[in-house]
Amino acid sequence: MTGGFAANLLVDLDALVGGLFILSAFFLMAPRQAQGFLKHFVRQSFLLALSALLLGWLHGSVELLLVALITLLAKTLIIPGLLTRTLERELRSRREVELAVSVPASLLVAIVITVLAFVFVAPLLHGVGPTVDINLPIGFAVTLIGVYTLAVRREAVPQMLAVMAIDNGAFFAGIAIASSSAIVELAAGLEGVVVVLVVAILARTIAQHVGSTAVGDLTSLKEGTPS
Amino acid sequence: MALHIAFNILQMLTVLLLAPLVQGVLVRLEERIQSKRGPSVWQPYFDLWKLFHKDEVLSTQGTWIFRFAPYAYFAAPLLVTMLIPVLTAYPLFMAFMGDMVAAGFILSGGAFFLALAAIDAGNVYGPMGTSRSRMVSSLVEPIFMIVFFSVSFAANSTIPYVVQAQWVQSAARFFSPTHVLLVAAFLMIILAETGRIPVDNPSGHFELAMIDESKVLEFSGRSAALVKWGGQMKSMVLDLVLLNVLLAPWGLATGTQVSAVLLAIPLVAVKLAAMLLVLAFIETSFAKLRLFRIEDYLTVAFVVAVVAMFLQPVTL
Amino acid sequence: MTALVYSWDYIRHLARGHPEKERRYYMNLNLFVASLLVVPLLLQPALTWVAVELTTVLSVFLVSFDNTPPALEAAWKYAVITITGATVAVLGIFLLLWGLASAGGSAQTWSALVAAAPHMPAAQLKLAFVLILLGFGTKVGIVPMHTWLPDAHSQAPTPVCALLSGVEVTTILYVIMRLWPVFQGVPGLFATRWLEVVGLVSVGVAAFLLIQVHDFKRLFAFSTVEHMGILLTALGLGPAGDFGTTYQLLTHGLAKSVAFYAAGSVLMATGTRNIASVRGLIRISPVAGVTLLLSGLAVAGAPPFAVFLSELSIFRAAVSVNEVWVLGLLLFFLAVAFLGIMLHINAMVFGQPSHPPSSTPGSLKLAMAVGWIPLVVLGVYLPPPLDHLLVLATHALRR
Repeated sequence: MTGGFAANLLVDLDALVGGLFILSAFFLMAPRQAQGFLKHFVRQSFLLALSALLLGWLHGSVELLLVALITLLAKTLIIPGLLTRTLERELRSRREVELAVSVPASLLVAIVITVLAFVFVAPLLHGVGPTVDINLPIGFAVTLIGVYTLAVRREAVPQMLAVMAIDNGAFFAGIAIASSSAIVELAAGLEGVVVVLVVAILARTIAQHVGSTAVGDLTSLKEGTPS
Repeated sequence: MALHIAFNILQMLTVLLLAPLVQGVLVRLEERIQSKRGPSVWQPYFDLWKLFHKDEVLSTQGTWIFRFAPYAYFAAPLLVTMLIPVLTAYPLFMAFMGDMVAAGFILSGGAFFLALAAIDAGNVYGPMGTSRSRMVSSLVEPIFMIVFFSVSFAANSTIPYVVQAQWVQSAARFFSPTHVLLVAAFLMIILAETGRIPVDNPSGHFELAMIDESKVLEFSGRSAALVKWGGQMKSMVLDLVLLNVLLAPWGLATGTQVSAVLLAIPLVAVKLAAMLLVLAFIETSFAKLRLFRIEDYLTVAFVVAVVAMFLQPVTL
Repeated sequence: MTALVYSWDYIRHLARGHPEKERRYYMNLNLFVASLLVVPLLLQPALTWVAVELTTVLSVFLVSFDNTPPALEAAWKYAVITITGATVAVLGIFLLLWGLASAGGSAQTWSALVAAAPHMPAAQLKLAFVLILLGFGTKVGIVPMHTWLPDAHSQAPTPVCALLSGVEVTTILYVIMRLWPVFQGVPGLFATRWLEVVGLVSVGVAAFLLIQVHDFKRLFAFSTVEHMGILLTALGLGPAGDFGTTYQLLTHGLAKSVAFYAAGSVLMATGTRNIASVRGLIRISPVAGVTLLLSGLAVAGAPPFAVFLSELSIFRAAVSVNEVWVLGLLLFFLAVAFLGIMLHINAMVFGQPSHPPSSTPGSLKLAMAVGWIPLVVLGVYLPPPLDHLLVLATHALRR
């Protein structure tokens, strides 16, 4: 445990990171091109690592510091690197991502989601300490917003990154509430890389066989049409 | 009392005289970041001087509105200066005349006259620019309101002097997510409202792509100077609101000595310079959005402001 | 694992001339099976989650094996939707671990979790429950997160379908069952109601979709959604439904594998997945025709087969706890589903043959025969040791 003033400062800085983190979730809904999506995702992951670092320092927990390190490595370096290697062409394409719902409309939905997230989490926040107060509702909100972002994107790369953003949200809550089980987060953090690798290869195969990664256009499988 | 009135006048003079410099520094910074030399930081003063000494050309179609509008646009930011903390951390003589809503109202009043004048002149580009800037403003306005309301919700007041004390009460408040989100939302709408990238390109001269600039095409001579100067003051006033009310209410004079207030001028100038650096960075690293993408941008600002409001009871 | 035997000829057929591809297939398949086996072995919920995620990751390329646009679409949906679900579930697990830590538990095992559950705040348990149910529920294909399931289960090569539908889904359901005792401490009927509603909705939607499918592999895939719904409903019925749940879990795994083997041999015999273009199967390939008919009857829950008995025990449970509404709806949906399945299968098996006769490869026959034995035997007679095992499993469920 770190002493009085420094601890307060760490808590405050964590709150600052929390604010920026939820901000990044909204920004993640806005870009129209895969590249912009990746940029925002890297920023968000960086904030997650920063929060893990602050909390690790605050609780004197080596596991959380390791989580910070792994998040930093996996999500801001390895995953973007993997994506760039496997999906170079798709990532650089200037094509606008097709959206099921327009950006303003989906952002308004995001407000509702955020409010709901806070309402759901509110009963859990009685005397649980300032960092949980910040991280749990924000992490939960970002998780739900991520699910929604995923649902309205119809392109492979943004969908993939949205999945990872959901992951970010869950972990943002996780590092505050389950700091003792950081070993899980380590394993899951590493698994994120595997997941992205698998999904990226799949996306590349799709690009090779179908010609584009606009997965929203793949609608051959549904009821009522003979296949 | 007399001293307060004097300070108030000093505040107005500061804004009046420094506004072109702020503009000049910003342009210079941007050019520097783009590794160009750029004009002197005093260039806006020369421009104003030149325009004041030129003859004015009036449209035969125009009415009194066209002649009156520049004065209204010029006076609005000056009036607002009386309401907001520019140099002092304590309220001055006129401060309780109006709150932040009034400040927003006065600013949009000026913009309203400018819009009327642009239509009045009969130039084709005027109404086009007006309709576009109205579109932006009508989206910006509610965000302004929400930012103000969530700020005043926290401070239980809409008077800017009371609000600014709110954030410095404790570090926890200063770093709270609400504060971060409010500052972000306000910064985004300042960019939109003052016609900057990514909403509008202030240095663009292509009539069809303009938003703000096309409204002032018809003005010449003294009217043009007033509109230009008014616009510069408006940007500066908004920057000051962001700095002194929302973001960093430090460096303001707390004592009533003349020296303390005078000392506040360089301190505020330093804050402004830092802010300009951020603005210049934003302006050079983003591209202008397509007209119909502006609503995306503003919706993000709106959502951020609303969420800031909802977060308040939880995180403060 | 009858799937491996079945794979032998089937993949030979698919990947003729591509030994490299064939090798990759077996590597993936075995890894996938291993990951499925690991899930129930783990004691810690968090590591179980990791194993569940692994099952997804390892099976994605099995689904996309054909590399046709529909197969890739199915694999993509499968990967994205189930990984999303798993990520939502991880937040629920974090919540549980948090509760565990604040209740003073140190060992993060299932039993510690169950012990600590009464000390956790109800709101927290509720939130964790909903998150985990929805998260893992995605993986077992509960409505409305079921959209990937018929796609993945119909586009994958048949042995993989059998594994996905018969084994993977039940494995994940096992995880939900494992978590179930933790949530029983929640006051009121909160968790029960959630399970019943989610289960019944799944059964209902699947039953009506069964009527209008055009692809016979999708037919069985929807039947999986339906069975999962039945299982969740049974779980929601409380202790009375437990025996039925475990029994149904077992019989579903058996019946669904066999059903997919039958579908696979039909596919090999006719080369199409379209129900409308297969007619008179009994003359084209008697083995495929008969097995398809019988497996259709089996998964639909007709009397001589094991699924009938397990469903019956679930009905009995519903009666014993006086959940008349649940019973009524369940019966109605099952009748609709039965009708849907048999309508299509009758059309396929009888009538004028649409394809020239062909024979079924040996390993397919073997796999189906081996799959059939327990299904029929269990249908008429439940051996005492197995009965004992099921009762034990039932007790373990409540611990």
